[in-house]
Amino acid sequence: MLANSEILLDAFCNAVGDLVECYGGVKPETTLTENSTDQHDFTAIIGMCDEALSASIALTTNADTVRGMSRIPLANLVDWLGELSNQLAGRYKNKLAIYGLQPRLSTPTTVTGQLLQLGALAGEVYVFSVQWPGGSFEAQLSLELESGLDLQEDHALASAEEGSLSLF
Amino acid sequence: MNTTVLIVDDSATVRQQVGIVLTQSGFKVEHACDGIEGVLRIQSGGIDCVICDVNMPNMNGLELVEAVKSCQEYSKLPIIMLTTEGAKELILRAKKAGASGWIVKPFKADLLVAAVQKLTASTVAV
Repeated sequence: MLANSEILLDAFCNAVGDLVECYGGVKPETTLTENSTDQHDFTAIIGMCDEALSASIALTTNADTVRGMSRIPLANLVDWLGELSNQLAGRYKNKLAIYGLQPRLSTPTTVTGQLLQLGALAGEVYVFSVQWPGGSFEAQLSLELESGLDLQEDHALASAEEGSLSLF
Repeated sequence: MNTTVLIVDDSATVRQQVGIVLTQSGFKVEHACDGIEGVLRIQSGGIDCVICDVNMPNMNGLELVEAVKSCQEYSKLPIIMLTTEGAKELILRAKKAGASGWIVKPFKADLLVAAVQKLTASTVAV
């Protein structure tokens, strides 16, 4: 049986992979690294929490990567990076739904500067290096989980699929 | 006369993306950056359909639906939620509040256009 942290990190890696595949056209190589060494210029940060989980996601990259992940010419690079972080958090949340986790998402904030690092008051910070032929970014995830929580899959709780349409 | 679609999203890029798709399909589009601005634009009249994000500052998309649908005058205005959220609980809340549909981002252009065409086929601007 997988530990909680493995489940949460696998789900995050899958969410990152899906995001890049959707907007970059290929599955990226995603590597868990020791520390942030990224010297890209733009970062988008988004938070998510419920009673059992508190997390922040920071997505750091450069202008060329952001442009390469858009299907239209961009009027505002950091706005699109913020939306990409929102879509990453949404995908992550949707993958956590089968474990009964339903965190609420904040709206994203963008920051300009280099060597930004997330900190966590309690819990852990994980840094992923994400690379593919069309670009690269660094995805940081700070994660705090209620102690004693036992994550069990229940597919009856699954979210609606990405790209799906429901008319009422 | 063109069908007018109001796009409510706090991301200018998403508004631009949706706007391009709808404009290319013959719709006229207008924009609002949050729920409050969206409600004010709807109240000024002439909107046939709304595409609305959920997570936005000031007033979120579900609050927009509840505010709009509480007014008899706009009770038949189609509102399609376009969001990264896919939680069944939220979808049910939107349906109960009177939303007409729910699309999980990233959107497929053909599905979005088909949904707007279907929902506006029998409606007149309110």
